[in-house]
Amino acid sequence: MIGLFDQLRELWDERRRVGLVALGVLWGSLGLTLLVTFGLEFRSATSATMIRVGDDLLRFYAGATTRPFAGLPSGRPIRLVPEDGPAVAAAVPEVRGVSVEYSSGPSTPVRRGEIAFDARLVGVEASFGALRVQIPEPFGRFLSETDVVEHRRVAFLGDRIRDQLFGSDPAVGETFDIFGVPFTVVGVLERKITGSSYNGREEDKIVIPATTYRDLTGRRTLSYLVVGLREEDDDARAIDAIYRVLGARHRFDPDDRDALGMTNYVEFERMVGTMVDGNNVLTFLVGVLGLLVSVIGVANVMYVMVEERTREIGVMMALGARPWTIASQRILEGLLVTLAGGVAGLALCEGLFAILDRIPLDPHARAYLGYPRLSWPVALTVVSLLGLTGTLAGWVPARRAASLDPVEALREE
Amino acid sequence: MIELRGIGRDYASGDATVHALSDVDLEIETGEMLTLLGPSGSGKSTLLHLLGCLDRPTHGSYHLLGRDVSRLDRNQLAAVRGEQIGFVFQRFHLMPRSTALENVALPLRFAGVGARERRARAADLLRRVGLEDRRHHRPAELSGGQQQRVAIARALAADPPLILADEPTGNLDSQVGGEIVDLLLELHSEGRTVVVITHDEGLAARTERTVRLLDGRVFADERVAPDNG
Repeated sequence: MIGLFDQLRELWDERRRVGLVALGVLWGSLGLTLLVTFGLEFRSATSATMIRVGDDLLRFYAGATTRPFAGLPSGRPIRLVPEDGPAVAAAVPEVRGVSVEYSSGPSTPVRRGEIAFDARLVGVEASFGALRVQIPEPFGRFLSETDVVEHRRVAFLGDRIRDQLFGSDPAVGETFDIFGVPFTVVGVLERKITGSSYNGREEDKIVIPATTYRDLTGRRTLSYLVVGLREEDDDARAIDAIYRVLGARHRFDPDDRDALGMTNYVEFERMVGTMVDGNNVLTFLVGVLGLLVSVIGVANVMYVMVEERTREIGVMMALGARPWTIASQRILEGLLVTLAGGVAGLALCEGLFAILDRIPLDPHARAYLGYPRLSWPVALTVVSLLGLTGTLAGWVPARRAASLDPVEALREE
Repeated sequence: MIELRGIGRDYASGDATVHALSDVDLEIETGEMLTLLGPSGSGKSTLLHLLGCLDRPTHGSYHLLGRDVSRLDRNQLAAVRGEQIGFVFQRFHLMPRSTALENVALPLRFAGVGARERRARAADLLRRVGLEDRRHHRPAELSGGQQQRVAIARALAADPPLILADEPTGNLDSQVGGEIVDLLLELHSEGRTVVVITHDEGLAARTERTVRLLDGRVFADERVAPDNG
């Protein structure tokens, strides 16, 4: 076996060519690592964005029956009422929290001094804050149980509404009018980027207690019933149970799923997850292909090196080098070049991530990009792939070198 | 030392078969020095390749130091070459990127000798061929005669009993060539078996035995008193 030192010197003799090839591998490994890391970070950033809508949520809304039930005709509209919330919460153990939600179109007149415009008004219970992740900015709070029980005229503002009404002035504790009725601001929604929303963006909504909403509008039937589950895997069982409870209360067949509309965010998240996973598999394959192309470059150059050194290989054989000694040199060379280029690629990748962290980005972009970092599993995967492909890169030239006929090789000019 | 019996070597050339060697019987005693003479195409290179275990005969048997080496596999042949045979080539065949010292040490690398001992032995051998002050020079920085001396030192690295020289003076002028022949004679006088291929009748006259090949057969096998006056 030839020493590593001799090997390194041989590579040094060919440093320009070997360097170019290693640069190719560097690109390959950089590309693969970037693709995989961004993919993984996109996955976790996406589900984080989903969670900001609310963790394991179901949302029910009005519908109409499609089949007769208990002597009642089909096509009968079913509307949710405030009492449905506590009924579901009490009867279904998989449910961790429930909130009613009233939601108006963008036509509620809002005024503060000279500033007047129409906005979306939402009436909810205190539990809505936790279910829909209504995180207040500092010095504010979300609506409380007391606000709801006492029909208080308090409001929790989307940050854009706050900007429109108060500009850069502090809003908490200040008042403004809804339908000409004065309300006090208790909190402002912290800037939030969500992967989904319904009936307008949260930053453009004014949230008030459901009780106050009813007082103000005279409305009784709900827009939505927002339900949070304890476990994400419980959705099918919980949905069945909720339809049974509401079917009994509103007298429809629990299997008649059009009687009440429903959005299943758990399922939605699962779907997006599967899509992103599929996408990640694809980007991984693309990255591996890129790496393979660069490794084929290594194989190619080493093959040329074998061809150019045919006579030297013949001499080495005459001097007693065994075919395996000749072959192992090539394999080691392929491995060294590939690993050197690949590890440099990984290092460069980590450097790029560090720079990326410091670049100020639009928060919407950042919400999906996240803060990618080179992880050990990714690094180890890339290094093992490099090892494997590097060995393969050396293999073909090695086979060629080892199979040389010493007589023929010595004749080579 | 060497016993060839009914050696033949055929090559396929298109549809035809070329008989490079046919029915060669040859015995070489330990410590003998002989010249293989013959015109181009007479089969002397083929015979040298067979003797050097670089190639295997199509027919016949080859016993080297009592061992039949005609049916060994590639690895076994490599081991035989590394241990028993030292090669000297017409075009020297030194490694262009290695120094004289590294070139001489190369066979020891394949034999698994440690780096320190390799260097020491290579330095001794370079001293022996009179090139100790050239040990860190690369082949391109050496004259033809010096390169051939390095090659001879390399052939001696593993201390083989058999030295095979293929036109060792073919690329040298007559004076330098003469010095190389002196060196080969010196190896012979130490008891090594030396086989030299040549066109050069003058060189042949300096060895005690000359085997002449023609059309792949042994044409004459002459023993004469060497003219080394």
